[in-house]
Amino acid sequence: MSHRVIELHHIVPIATIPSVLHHGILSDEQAAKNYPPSLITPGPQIPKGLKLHQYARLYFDAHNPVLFNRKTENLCVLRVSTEVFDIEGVVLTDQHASSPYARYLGPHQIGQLNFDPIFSDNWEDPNQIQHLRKKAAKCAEVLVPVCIPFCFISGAYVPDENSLASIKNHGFKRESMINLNLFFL
Amino acid sequence: MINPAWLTILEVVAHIAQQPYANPVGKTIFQKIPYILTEQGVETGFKFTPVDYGLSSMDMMNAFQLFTRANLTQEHLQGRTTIIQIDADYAEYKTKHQAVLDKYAKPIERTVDLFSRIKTTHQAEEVIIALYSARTLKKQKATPELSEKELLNYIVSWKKTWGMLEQYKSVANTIRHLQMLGWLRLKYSELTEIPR
Repeated sequence: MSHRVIELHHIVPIATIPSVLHHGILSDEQAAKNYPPSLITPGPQIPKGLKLHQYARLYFDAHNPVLFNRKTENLCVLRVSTEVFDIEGVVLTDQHASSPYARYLGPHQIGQLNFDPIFSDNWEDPNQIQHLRKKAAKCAEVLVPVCIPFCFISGAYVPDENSLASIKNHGFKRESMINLNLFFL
Repeated sequence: MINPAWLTILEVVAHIAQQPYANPVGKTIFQKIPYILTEQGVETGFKFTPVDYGLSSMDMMNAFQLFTRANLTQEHLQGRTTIIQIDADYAEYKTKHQAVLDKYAKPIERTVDLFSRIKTTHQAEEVIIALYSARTLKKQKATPELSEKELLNYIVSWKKTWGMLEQYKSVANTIRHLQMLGWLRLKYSELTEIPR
């Protein structure tokens, strides 16, 4: 495994922490079953795998365009152990998993991912194509079939004191900390 | 007689078959791999000509027949798709011509990467048409600089049915992704049809 990957991230509204405590991190399909009448968009088929909405989805780095686009929401980032790589059927992607030209890899192929753009602080570039390339790489994902049990969650990052209090009020007892570098404040 | 450079085609198929999350190579995709290898300088000797459905090459079809006769490939029906499998006799050929495969290791690797990303035969056709059209247009122009929009317009004027909105968006998306993956080098255009 790449020594640069020390944990994985899941972006989630703080209000859904009670569900995480109960069920872990769910795929969209599982979430819809547990919380009807949730709507799900069926995702593309991963070759030799499941459909995208049947995976629980993690990022290598949550400091990415998805978190940026959701910066007005009350979110936290769950820290997930890299031990999920040992779960059968895990898929790695080199860009957003729903991208039509995403590459899907097994955990043993992690060395094929270029972690420089994945872990870079920003994706701005004066060259538009290079900018899009960097932006896509920031959204590289880890797809775990069906759900990620709570035991794989080691803690959470939050953007401020209010969020810290809020996540604790929701009963989250794992280590929580304010991470100003991760969120777009 | 089998040109040793043609073994790069079989090597690509063998590598894709080993990918945990890539579609196996079907008959249609199999016919697209040689163009990508030839474009990268693999001396296949194949000449490609544009036809309604994409590109055609008589030399390539002859080579495929030689593969079958030499027990290098087999066809299997998987659902409604004919899958190409590399036969056991390939190992012997591979050992004999390892130096050629080593020489072309980079084009093989890039081709495996590209086709591991392609999920449908239609997507493969868009890729081939985009790369072939870019090369053709660059040859025609006095300056080598070509924009994404020029390429898109050229393609939809060739493939008339691709001018419908959904297909147009799909081709635009393919051109943009080929740029991002380093397969095309074009001047950026504001393609409002595709999300940024």
